[in-house]
Amino acid sequence: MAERGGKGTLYEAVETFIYVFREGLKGSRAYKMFLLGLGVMAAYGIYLWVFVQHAPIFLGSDKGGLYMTGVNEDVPWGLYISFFTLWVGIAASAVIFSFIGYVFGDKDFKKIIPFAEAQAVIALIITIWGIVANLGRPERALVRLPRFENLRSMLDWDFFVIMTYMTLNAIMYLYTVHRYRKGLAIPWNAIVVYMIISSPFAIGIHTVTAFIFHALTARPALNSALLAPRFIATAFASGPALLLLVLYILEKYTKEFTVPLRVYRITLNVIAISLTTGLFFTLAEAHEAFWYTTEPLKRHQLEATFYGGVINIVTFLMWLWIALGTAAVLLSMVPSMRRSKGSIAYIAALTFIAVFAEKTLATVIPGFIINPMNVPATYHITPMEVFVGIGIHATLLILYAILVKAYFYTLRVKGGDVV
Amino acid sequence: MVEGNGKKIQEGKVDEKRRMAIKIAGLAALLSTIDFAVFDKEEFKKMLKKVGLDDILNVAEAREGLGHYEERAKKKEEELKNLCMAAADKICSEKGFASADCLLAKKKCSKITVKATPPDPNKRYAMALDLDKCIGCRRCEYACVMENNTLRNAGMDWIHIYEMDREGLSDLEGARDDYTVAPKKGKVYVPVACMHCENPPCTMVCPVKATWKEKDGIVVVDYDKCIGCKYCVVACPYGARRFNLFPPKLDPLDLNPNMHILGNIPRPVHVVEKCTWCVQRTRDGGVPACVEACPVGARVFGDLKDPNSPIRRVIEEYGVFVLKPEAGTNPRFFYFFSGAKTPRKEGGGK
Amino acid sequence: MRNSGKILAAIVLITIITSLSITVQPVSASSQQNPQSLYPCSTCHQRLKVNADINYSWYHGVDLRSGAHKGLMCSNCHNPESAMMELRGNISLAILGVHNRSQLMADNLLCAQCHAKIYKDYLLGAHGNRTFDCPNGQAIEVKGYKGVKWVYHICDDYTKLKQKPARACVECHNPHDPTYYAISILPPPEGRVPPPDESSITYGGIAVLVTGLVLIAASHFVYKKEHMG
Repeated sequence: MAERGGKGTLYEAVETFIYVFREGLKGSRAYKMFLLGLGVMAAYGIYLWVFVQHAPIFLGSDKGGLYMTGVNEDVPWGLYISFFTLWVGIAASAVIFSFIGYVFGDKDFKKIIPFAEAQAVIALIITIWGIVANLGRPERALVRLPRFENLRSMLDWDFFVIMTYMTLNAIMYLYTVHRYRKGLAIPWNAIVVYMIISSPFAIGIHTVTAFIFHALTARPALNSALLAPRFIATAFASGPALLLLVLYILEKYTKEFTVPLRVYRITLNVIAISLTTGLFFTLAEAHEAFWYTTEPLKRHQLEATFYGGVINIVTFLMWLWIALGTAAVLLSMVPSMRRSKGSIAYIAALTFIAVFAEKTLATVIPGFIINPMNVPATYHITPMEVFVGIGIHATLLILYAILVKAYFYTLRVKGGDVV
Repeated sequence: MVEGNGKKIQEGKVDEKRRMAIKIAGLAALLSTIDFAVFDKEEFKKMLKKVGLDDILNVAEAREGLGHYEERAKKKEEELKNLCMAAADKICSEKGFASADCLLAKKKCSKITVKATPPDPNKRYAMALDLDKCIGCRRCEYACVMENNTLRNAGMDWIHIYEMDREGLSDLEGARDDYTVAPKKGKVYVPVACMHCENPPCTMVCPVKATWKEKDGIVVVDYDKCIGCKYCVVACPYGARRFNLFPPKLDPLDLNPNMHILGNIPRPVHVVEKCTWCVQRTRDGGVPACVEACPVGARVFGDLKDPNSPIRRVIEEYGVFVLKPEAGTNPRFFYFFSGAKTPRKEGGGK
Repeated sequence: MRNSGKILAAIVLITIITSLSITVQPVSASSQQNPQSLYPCSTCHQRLKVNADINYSWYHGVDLRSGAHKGLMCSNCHNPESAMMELRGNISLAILGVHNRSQLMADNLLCAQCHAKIYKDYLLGAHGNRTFDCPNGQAIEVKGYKGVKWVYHICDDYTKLKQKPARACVECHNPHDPTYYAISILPPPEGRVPPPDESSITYGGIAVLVTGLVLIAASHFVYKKEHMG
């Protein structure tokens, strides 16, 4: 505290906050066009959400409502909750980079940790937004959810861990930017505190999200204790994959910034191991359902998921995950693919698409594909859901760009060597 | 202190600090304005109400604050009466104030009652259904829609009737609810609504305790608390919960005048609703609408604690079973086979 | 054979009258146009005794040679001395369509002679429907969901409701053919209303998407131009 020259902590935090947005929004014409492109999509998505889909809530109008999305009583959770499961995993993976950087003391990794933290922050905002867009009454939730009225409900716990992990990462990101901006290194005790708190929460956000689904006897396809490990496995594949893609793009469009190849390689190892585990878990679930289980509903739900015929997009995504996931694992073992950043980024893209396929609809919908009374459900993704989803993603990509840009600027101008 | 301030002014640091402070204040003011514009004032007041440690730690069944509900019921009653009177006035001005339509409409409006009858802890309601008698005619479903002010034609019916193979009853094989010919030979018709389980998974998962099991065994939803997360819809093993996807579009003159604040008041948009065993009727001694409407007398409703109740008679005389016992929810909606079969023919009917 | 002409005339007359009485609905029987008062059963049955050994009556349309009551004779229920007297306690039998519900309830005891278990079920509410009364109440029949009739209980006070059996035995079971046959079923309720036409959202969205992607792609070329040229 003393070294901050007498100014208050809050003052410094706000200053850094403003600094991040000021520097993040600055940039060349190309960068601004990029942000504008995302901004157009974001504005349309937010408009659709506020003024059309949730118009009865926000505007009190008679038109609009959640019936404009594909959800119905058989499939109460659709595309929005899919985004929730996907992005909560991506957020969890920030801990991998923190571990390699802070705990194992890898200098190259230490440099990219704030990118991972920024990624965790935006991923968790998408997560929360995904839940809120699916909520009937967001204004009530805003008042009631923070009260934690029913601690038996996993949703309350999930809200708690997501909020905590997001705040933690946001603070750590700001703190890192703040320290580097001043040309100072991050003190050891701050790192220790951050690591001790954030590691369990990183696993926690995803585990608790899986717990939301897995304890429900009503949805046998999701009622499996393997769900949480499965979530974690694919989470540790998709998060680093996305970060690798971001680093690769950053390297392409900036001259000064370089990430050594060994960072790519180590991350690729993490991705490959996680993907293999994820594929193995999928195999284990399929084996249980098709080999042994006598529970009719579980069998029907997984048959409908793997063979198709009810909600075909789920079947497509399931097989896409298996195909692309296997391809990514096999490619990562080819020595020539490991030699260049471009090919590693290619594998990362494959991985991200594979996990996107698995973690979105192919995770959520199998529980609903045959309803509890053994009647096949219907679910059509409507344009509303698609464009609101695009809007949410575009909004947070803008934020991601800003956070990345600000940190990048800090690194380049002020404290490139402190790490 | 004064000296210190003076020094800082001389150094020129306070200006910067003040600018920052003004910026923060402006931002905060803007945010709070948006807050007030967007959010309900009543909700905001509730939010400001102190939350005690009990509220957080009391994770068992929600307490039934009686006065609170009675107050709300009165408010709701007034609101609905006014709505109804406005609609009645419209009819009157069109058809004349002495016309029969006008008088009937006004009479209906004046009878609107919203109750908040508390549960009787000495009772434990249960329902049983005779699968031998049920012919799958859907009259209970239609009655339920009218009695409970459900949105018409929005797929919101609380009761769904599934046609199943007689031998496939245990694993719900071949269930469908869109049959048009009944009763067929070899088929059994299984009406399914909320089972009012002893161990309901839906109340366990509600993040805001907007749904709970009352002391008389009825699982209710507080429509003013529900945040519409649909977690309970996901958790229900019987698919009994419905989510209001549509803004309410009910003619106030079509409303059932007998209402309960936790039962059949017209629901707002985007909240979850479900069967309440017609809490507006049963708590005051009546029978649920489906029991009254059943043309074959397949439904039986009563109090489990009363030795002379119909439900006890059924349990002792015929024995009962429940749907999906493996879900472990211990439903209070029983099925039984009395043996007195309503004739089933190919093509149905006499 | 002696008064065959007279009997034939009486039969024709009664047939006409009974066919009229059939159209009277049980619920709306306001007993003002009671066919029994026009032509009471006793007019015939004062002289005509019930034959104890028959189980088929062409005139009454009763055939006990088949159906669930197969094997019974008319005299099992009807007093041979006076046909419409109940055998058990010499109570006058009420007729569906003629008498009101509370009178029909008296017939239940006759059924209970043989069907003791079902009668106990009935008394306890486990057989047949239950309904309720309310003080100064009234049941209004309205056209309900999809035009199917529905009855509202209009009460002054909805907090004091009293349960009672909804119907007497003979209202559901024809005593001469007591099997309860299935009645017509109602059509399946409409499922969820299909979502509204979202084509405007689609077109708007595609336009926005294309604009956004073009801008993002353009930013790439702008970058290339800035750094190459």
